[in-house]
Amino acid sequence: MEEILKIQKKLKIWVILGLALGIVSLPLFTDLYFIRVASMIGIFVILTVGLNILVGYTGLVSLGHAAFYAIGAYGTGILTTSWGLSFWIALPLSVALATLLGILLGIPTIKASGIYLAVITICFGLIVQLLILNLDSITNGARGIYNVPRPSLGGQWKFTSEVSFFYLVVFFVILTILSASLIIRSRIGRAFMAIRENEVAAASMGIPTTYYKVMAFAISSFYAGLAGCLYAPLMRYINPDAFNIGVSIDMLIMTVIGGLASIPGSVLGGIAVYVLPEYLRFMKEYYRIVFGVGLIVMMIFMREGIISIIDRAFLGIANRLARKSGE
Amino acid sequence: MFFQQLISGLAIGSIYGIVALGFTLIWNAARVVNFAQGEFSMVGGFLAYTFFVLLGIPYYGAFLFALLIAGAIGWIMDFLVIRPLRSADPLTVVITTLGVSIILANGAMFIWGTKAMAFPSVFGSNPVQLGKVMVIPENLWIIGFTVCLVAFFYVFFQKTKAGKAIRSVAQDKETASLMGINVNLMIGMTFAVAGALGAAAGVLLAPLFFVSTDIGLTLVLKAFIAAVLGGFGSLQGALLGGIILGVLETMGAFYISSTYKDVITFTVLIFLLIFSPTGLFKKPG
Repeated sequence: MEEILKIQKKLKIWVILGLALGIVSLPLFTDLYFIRVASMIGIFVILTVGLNILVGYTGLVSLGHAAFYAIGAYGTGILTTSWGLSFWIALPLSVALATLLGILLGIPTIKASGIYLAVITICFGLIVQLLILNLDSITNGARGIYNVPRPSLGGQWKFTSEVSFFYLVVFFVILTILSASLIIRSRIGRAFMAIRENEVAAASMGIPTTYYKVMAFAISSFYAGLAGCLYAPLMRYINPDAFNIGVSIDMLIMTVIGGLASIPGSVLGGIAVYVLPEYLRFMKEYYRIVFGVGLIVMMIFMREGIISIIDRAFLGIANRLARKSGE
Repeated sequence: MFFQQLISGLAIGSIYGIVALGFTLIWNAARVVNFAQGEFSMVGGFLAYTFFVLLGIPYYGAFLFALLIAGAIGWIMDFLVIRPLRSADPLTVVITTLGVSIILANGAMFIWGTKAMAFPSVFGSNPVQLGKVMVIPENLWIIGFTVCLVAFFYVFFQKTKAGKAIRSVAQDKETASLMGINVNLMIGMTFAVAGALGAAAGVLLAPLFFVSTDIGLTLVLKAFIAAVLGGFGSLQGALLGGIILGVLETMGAFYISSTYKDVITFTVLIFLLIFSPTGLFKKPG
């Protein structure tokens, strides 16, 4: 058994290395349109990994996460256009604002949970979207913000082309995956999972549950804000429609179908929900119907998400390899 | 003017209340947060439009057909999708109902197109003098219908065998099945009733707004909020919560600001939920 696990681990490392090589060399063999799609996938991966920390690891549901995504995007959009600030100053400022609001949304968890918390997060998401729509003088209302500049670094490095911006997104995706994995493996991550499994037990073990629940909100809104900061310069145009409740719902769907409490699962979920529409374009208006059916079929037959299939496949291959080397 | 606003608020609130009632019935019977509840209303509106406007069937007939078909959709939803997930965790079920909602909304878009359609007012949308107050007949019909509906449900749940069976399933599935009640049948029936209720709300709403494929999500969110406001799981609470939400919205839009009415409603709600998480009223019993 240990042999199999060792082979499985090795196999995984090879696959990850292969994938990393594939992603880095992606611009060599695809067109600019797909590079743009790939950047968008990267942004969704950041969103999904962040939401998974809240939903998958801590067991708290948020149906308003598009709000933090919006704050990141609008923060960057406004600060880099009408304020004329550099992207590298706008990014920490807007991420900080998203995190602060995440803490604010985390505070009701002291008293509310389950269904009530879900409704609070829905209301929060709607409030933020409505404010963006109606605070015309700051956000330009329904018309949105045009010409968000692509960033550059010290005059030397410019991320203005699709390919260079893609690499910038890849950099942040890697940063997200590494930092999230570190958090999950740390004392904080263990506290999150203890709260998810049994809050009363966690509290009686001396874990300050409120503190950690608010922290889970803060961390996941940090990532959502970061994703927004990348979204605004990628699209170069943002409007309130891109951050409605449907986006919050899509984020939750990505997190669940990828696999709860699994960071590779979140990566897969982000990819599945955003890549599939690109390849199923020929279905046109049928697409969303097929998507809905697929979602239900998955929930009935594959509740652990896409990651569970991949895990099983890995185990199967490792098993076969181990048997072969044993012969 | 105040009374006219109040009646408008009561009318729209009644509609929210009816959707919330269906939502709560499903929660009580199957412990499912049904995000597809608003789509029943959307489908109901379109069915009534098809029968009444396109096929020229009399209003009450069209209304009845819409209820029956939406009820059937509710029952099918439970049979195909919710029943296999009886023991699944809540998040799985939530995602599944979201899937149903996506299918219904996009299916409707496929059948009826994306354009919003105007539904003619059956009872008149011009204000008439009633004593000292001006009222819109359409609103009176909505409120009257809701009162009848509530009376009907009261009798159904308190006096009939089927109603009592549904209530017993909501209270305790195991004991109910020991008493010889077919739990799956009762849950299926609850979904059918909830589907019909949703459709009723959709048909009532049709003349006030356009019939369009994107009202489902808005309505289910309002219903969810109404249900929680009234104390989640309470049928009276769901109805009252809906009415309070409707009145609050209408009054807020009229007296404070129509741009910020929803911001105000949602902010008040967040604070209510934080400081009184069991809703505005104590749950009876």
